Amino acid sequence: MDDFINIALPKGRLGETAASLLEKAGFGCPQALQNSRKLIFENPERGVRCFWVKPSDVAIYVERGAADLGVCGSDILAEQKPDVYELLDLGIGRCRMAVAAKNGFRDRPDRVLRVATKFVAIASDHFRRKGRQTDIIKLNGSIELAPILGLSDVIVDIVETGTTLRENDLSVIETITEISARLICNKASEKFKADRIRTLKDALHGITER
Amino acid sequence: MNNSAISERLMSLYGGCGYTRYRVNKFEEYELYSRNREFLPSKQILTFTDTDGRLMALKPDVTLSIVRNSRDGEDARLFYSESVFRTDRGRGVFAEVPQIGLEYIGRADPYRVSEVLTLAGMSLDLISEENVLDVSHPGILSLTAARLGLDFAGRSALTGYFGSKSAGGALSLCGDRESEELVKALLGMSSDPDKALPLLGSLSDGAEWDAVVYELRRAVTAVPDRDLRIDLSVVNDADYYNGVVFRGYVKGSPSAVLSGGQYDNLMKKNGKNNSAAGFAVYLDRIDAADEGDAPALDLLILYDDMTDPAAVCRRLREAASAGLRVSAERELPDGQEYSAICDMRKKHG
Repeated sequence: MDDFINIALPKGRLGETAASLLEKAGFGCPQALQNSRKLIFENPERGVRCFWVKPSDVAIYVERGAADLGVCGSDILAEQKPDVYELLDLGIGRCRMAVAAKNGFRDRPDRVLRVATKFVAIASDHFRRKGRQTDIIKLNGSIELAPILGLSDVIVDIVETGTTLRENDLSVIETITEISARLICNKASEKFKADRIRTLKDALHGITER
Repeated sequence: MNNSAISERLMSLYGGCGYTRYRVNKFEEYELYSRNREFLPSKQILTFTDTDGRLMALKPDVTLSIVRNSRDGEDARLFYSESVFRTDRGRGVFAEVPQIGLEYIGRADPYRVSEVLTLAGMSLDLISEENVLDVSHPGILSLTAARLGLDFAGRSALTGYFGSKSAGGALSLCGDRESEELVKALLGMSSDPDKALPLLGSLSDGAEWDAVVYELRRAVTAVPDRDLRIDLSVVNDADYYNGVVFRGYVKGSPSAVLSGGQYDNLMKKNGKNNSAAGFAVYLDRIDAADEGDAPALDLLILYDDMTDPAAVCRRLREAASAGLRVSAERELPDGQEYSAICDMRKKHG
């Protein structure tokens, strides 16, 4: 594994966009974008190996050194706080982390706010900074259901276009942070594969710079 | 080389340089750790109530015990090899973790700090030929935070962004162009001291900054025959560390295996007047760098169901008594190297 720069890409649309960026930067693995069940792809000429992993696992692969680099949403970095370097904002996968509630929701500051979310750390940090007492309810999906069924007062979730919220009679009441995909790097790899990683980062920077 | 061999070689190195072994109990009063919680690499502490009602903790760290027991005016050079109890990232459960470290407590003059840094480098050399020692100074981050006009929360955020080399995050804290230029220069800085130190010098805004750069330069140039890197992502807490801080990596291990620095502020916080410097080697993190084949055997014995167990035991005992590394196996293990083989299998003739 040592001769290659190993890159963990998140399965799905974000990963495909990232794979295209790598391709444009001259560090792609051409077969990675072909529809197949294969998980690992190599470009021996450029010394690059890409593999598809679950988006929430990218940071773990990089932190533990199974991947030298990875493409990971800043939401996952804020939630998991992995011990990695964040080398570049790739400017893709843009969305925001927001607090949303049923239309017409009126906050009662004298009551504990019930918050349903997949992002427990982000939600806890946000409300702690505001000094607000909360009851954080960890859910794994269909977060929008929680306020509709009275499970929570608000939700903290990723909002891309807002369509899902609108269709469920919900709306954003506060943006916590903007989100985009980042190029992350294992701390030891950054020392021992420094030149090749810097070259790859600079090539990506050249095509993502706005 | 396995962990115990590394540990022995490190202890031999420290002992040979005039450091004496320090032994500690497995537990200490919880109050010591709760008071210095931010100094600990892992914030969770395993506690229990002693029979006299005192809340005790299984040691998550050794340095704090050494600091607590140090005397004003003493000049102590110590090393330890102990188990500490803490949660590791990802696992989230408590584990007994082997740790070896070195502490100098006394008058941390420039020579002593360089000696500690030199021994940190030599420790890395003993673990792996391919290693990197990154050096920084918490003063740079503190003074940068002050120049950016950041409050406590902002300073904490800046520390996180420098630790992860997140230029975008750090720039989000800048209120003007001058601050942005400063942050860009620092985060884009080369790790080569010949380039980094002049750059840091050129970013000075006064005597405090100059003093920090001088201290960093002195530390880097005082360590002979070693390429140190200047890396501002080494962000040990300035509440505890006041001089050079450093972090060591070895090839094959995904995270830092050595961490340390000069920690006079920790001494002050605990009512001590001495200065101090030291480092810890995280032996548990070296495992990943040591995933090679099983150690070579002098003799491999093969047996099967038809072999007389007593005959195998006899052969094993003879070899072990002769000081050979020996193992009896049903079949040839993959990747196992051996000097000689004794095939006692009957089925295969």
